Amino acid sequence: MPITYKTNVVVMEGVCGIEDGDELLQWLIDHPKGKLNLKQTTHIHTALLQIILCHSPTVSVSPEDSSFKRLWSDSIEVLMETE
Amino acid sequence: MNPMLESFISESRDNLEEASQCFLSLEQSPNDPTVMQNLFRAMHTIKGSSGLFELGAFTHLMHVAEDVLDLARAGKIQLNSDHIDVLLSAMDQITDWIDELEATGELNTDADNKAQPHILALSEMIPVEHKEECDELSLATKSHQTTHRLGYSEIESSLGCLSDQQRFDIFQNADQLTFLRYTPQESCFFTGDDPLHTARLTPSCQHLRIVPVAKWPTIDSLDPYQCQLSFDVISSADEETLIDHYRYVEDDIKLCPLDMCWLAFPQGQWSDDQSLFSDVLPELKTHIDKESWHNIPNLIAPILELANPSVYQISCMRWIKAIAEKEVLEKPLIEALFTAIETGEFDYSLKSEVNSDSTESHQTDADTTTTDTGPQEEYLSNDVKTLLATQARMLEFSNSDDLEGRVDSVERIFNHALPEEFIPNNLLDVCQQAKQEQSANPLIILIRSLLDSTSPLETNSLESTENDAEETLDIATLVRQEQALRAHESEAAADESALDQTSLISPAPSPIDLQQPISDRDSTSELARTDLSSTQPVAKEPVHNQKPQVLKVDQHRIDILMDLVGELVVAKNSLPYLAKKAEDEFNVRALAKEIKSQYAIINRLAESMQSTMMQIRMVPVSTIFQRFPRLVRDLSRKLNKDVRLVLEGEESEADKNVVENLADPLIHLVRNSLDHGFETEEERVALGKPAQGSLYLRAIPKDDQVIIEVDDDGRGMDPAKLKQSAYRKGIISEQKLETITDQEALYLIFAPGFSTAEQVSDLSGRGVGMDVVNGLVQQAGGRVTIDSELGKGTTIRLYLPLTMAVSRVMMVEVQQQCFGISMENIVETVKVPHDRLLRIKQGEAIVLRDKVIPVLSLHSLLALPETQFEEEVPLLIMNLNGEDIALKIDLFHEGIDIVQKPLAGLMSQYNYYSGSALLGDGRVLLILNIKELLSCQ
Amino acid sequence: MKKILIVDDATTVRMYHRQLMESLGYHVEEAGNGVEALEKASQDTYDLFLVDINMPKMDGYTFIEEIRKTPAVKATPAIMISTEETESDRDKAYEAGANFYFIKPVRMEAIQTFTKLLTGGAE
Repeated sequence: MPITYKTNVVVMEGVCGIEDGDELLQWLIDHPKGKLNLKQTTHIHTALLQIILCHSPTVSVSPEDSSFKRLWSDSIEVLMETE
Repeated sequence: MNPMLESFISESRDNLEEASQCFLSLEQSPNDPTVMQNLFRAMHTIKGSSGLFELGAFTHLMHVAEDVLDLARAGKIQLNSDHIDVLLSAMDQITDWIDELEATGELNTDADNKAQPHILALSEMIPVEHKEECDELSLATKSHQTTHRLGYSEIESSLGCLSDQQRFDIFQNADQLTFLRYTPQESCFFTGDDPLHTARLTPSCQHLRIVPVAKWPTIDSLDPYQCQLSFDVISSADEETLIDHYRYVEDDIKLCPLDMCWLAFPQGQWSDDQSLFSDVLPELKTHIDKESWHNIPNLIAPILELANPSVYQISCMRWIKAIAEKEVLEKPLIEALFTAIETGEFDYSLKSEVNSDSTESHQTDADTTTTDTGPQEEYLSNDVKTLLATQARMLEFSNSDDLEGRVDSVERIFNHALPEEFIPNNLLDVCQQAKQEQSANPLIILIRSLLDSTSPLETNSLESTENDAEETLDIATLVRQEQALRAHESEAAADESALDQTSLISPAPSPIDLQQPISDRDSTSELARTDLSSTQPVAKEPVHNQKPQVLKVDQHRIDILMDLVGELVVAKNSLPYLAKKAEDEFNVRALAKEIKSQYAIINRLAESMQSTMMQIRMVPVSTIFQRFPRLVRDLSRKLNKDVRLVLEGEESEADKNVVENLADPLIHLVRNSLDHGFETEEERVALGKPAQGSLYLRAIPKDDQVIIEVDDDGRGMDPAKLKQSAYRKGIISEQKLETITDQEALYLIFAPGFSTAEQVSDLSGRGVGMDVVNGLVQQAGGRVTIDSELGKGTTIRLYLPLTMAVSRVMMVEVQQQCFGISMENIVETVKVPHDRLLRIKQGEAIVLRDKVIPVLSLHSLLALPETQFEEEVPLLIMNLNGEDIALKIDLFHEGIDIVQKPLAGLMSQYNYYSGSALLGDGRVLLILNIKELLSCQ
Repeated sequence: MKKILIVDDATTVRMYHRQLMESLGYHVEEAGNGVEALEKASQDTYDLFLVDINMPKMDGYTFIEEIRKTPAVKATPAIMISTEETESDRDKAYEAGANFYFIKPVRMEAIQTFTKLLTGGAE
């Protein structure tokens, strides 16, 4: 399972595909203060990205994968901050 | 294999066959329009279908060939034999590729290289004055060239979003840059796309910027499965690489080369404290004026190390240094940067407004426009506009007899393509008017006015639509947004806006208006349909000349069916045994009788099934005859002999395997005939023969055989020469040389290692002699005869069984074992008193009708113990290679029809068995290959 | 379910379009040339014709011209599918009475969008 839902943190690991979209969306709706643990994330599907951008949850642990880290800091974080 | 590719392969084979026949006919009658038309269509279909697969070289070559044909069809090129040579050889390449595709499912990597010489040769045929139109065409398909371009104004705001540092890094990392904007279709997730993934993997990606196309809704109304993101990518890869990466979404990308200068603009906080750098400015100015770029970095470097990089002037200096280091960029840019240090205003012609105050103010224009103006209010999506514009164009071509059809189809499209509330409520009237006036103009005007007006709420949203002209929304979003909008707007507002429209359109909702006419129209079309069936000759007539339905089935499946039928035939033979058992062992005569009568029925069915199966496997010999016109043409051109090929009886049918096995021997015979058989034109004329030689290829059905004749009027064979040659090569003894008849001498050409050609030509004499032909024909269960008259010509006949599936064998018994021997070579069966056998040296012989025939014992051939015959000896007289032999056996049994199967596994290497067959009682019969058996001796 | 008639002499192309259209939820029938297509059109109602140009017996232009003159089917939208990209080729299709024009091989998204618009969706 690339995505595990803890009490108030969603942990995304590896490549997270579009099939996790419904669950992630519902979880974020149910947990408006839910946080994101991206430590092990290497890729998220565009649909998941949209959910994250729309909700802009706080990131509890930043990505470690160098490529995804760069994507996150250069291209995604900017969008979350302006929200 | 993918069924589509499979279909493509088999379809293309047919079309290639057709094309090559057409080419040959064209050579005879270059201007035959029907042939041209057929040829063109065959080629066109191959090309068109190949486009469905990624077969670049294949499609390209077909395209060029088609271009050539197109010009020929238009009379701009006169095709001659040389042209046809080139075209045929291109088709050969295509055929090779089809084979490749069939074997591996793809083209080899060398396809492009292989295509090149053909493309060159073909393009040489195109006269210079037509070259342009053709090149353009072929190139157009090669690289599609449909990629949209971006202008500077479109990317400016995106560049503005980059920080000074980011731009600086990109600038230093690359020497050439491409800017690409990827706006995925909203529905792209459903086709399996992950745009973020695609964008992340952009080759040599320098920067990726993700841009939401609209403001996010609240999370609970988000539809995450509609893609709402766009991607701006800066890459140091070239355009071609990028287009290739995005080839599956080519229509969703726009790109442009990114001028390095566009990155170079200063950003930062203006500092009033100029002390740090004011000293160097005069010197810097001198270097710039003198264009001594290499001095600049050293001058500025120390300052950059000390200064705060977020200071505007420092940013300018940093850029100056970077640009100077590249030594390639424009002087005006450096000058502009220099001026900016002094004045705080960067004025470089490419960019109009770069705010010097703060980094924040650069925040994306795109974002602000979308957020400020709310949801996109495109009245009609671009797709709908395109569609409507097309309808207007189509209507322009109306004439009196199809006007109604055109108008009706457009009316229907209106109803399908537009959301209900946008359908002009005067649409029906306008259509009616058009029909009455016999002119499509009213409808065209209606469409134009719809296209011109940007929105039904024109006054409110003109601005936003202008700003986002390139925005494309699909119709679903359009409807959703419009509905949401309308929920908020009052009726009055909508009405008011309707008044703003030109008099012809009234896009206000009118569901009631529409209801009636729709049902109306349905009923009229219902009526019209009855009309059609009674009065439309065009639609009715074709029933008669409809092509018989043809089913293409994999031969393998037929073979399986065939085997099953064979087994059924054998299985049903057990019924008589069963009947006998019922009668003898169980004493139920009635049951036995019933089994017998059932057997009769099953027998009849099985037999007709078997013969139907045979029928299915029958193919006309034309399938192989078709190859010969091309072969003869090529060879005769090469040998400079004028030979006319006449095909006769091509419609005769034989089993598919027989026909296929015939191909190689026939090719060899035809080659031989052309190579050795025919004289040159001069020789023929000198001999008083017609200059043009004639080669007949005939198929003659005869009983259960088909005879294939290769008949030429060439020089014929010289028995004396043949004899001498055979003697020299040690094929016959001196004694034989004297006794051999002329007729027998002809058959010497079948002897292994015999070749009459004085010189081995490039065509035949490739080590495959007539002996191989003979072998192949015999393998197919046939035989070869030769007739030749010196100076008149040669006729070679191949006698082939109609079907290989069923063959007739004689069952013989040796030491209580049954064997089958093919009837083909059996001349007669005799029983002779054992004292009539003569001992000659080690062997035996018998005199039969004054002819001495050697007697061999099948026992010894099979290494079985000899039988001591008391009275009569059963002998099987056979003719092998023109010689009679007698074979001693124990018992004759009946001749039977069998389905012969090749031996499998270990047994397959014993070639003195030609195969095996199942007998009715379930036993296996081994079929002997006597010829092999004798040669093993 | 909406019905589409694919008119093309190339089996492979028909197969391709069939897969495409069926994946979009349409019911598909095929005809190998204009004559066959007219025959089918006279026996059944279709919501759209996808028509190739070059075909034996009757080409695509003639087929569409006939359709437009035949009362029962004259209003049925028709898309012409061709390998040629020039303006004059497009115009020839419109002149015959085609409602839209596609270049082979058609792109999934494009044909999806426009068949939807022309038929009002597959349902």
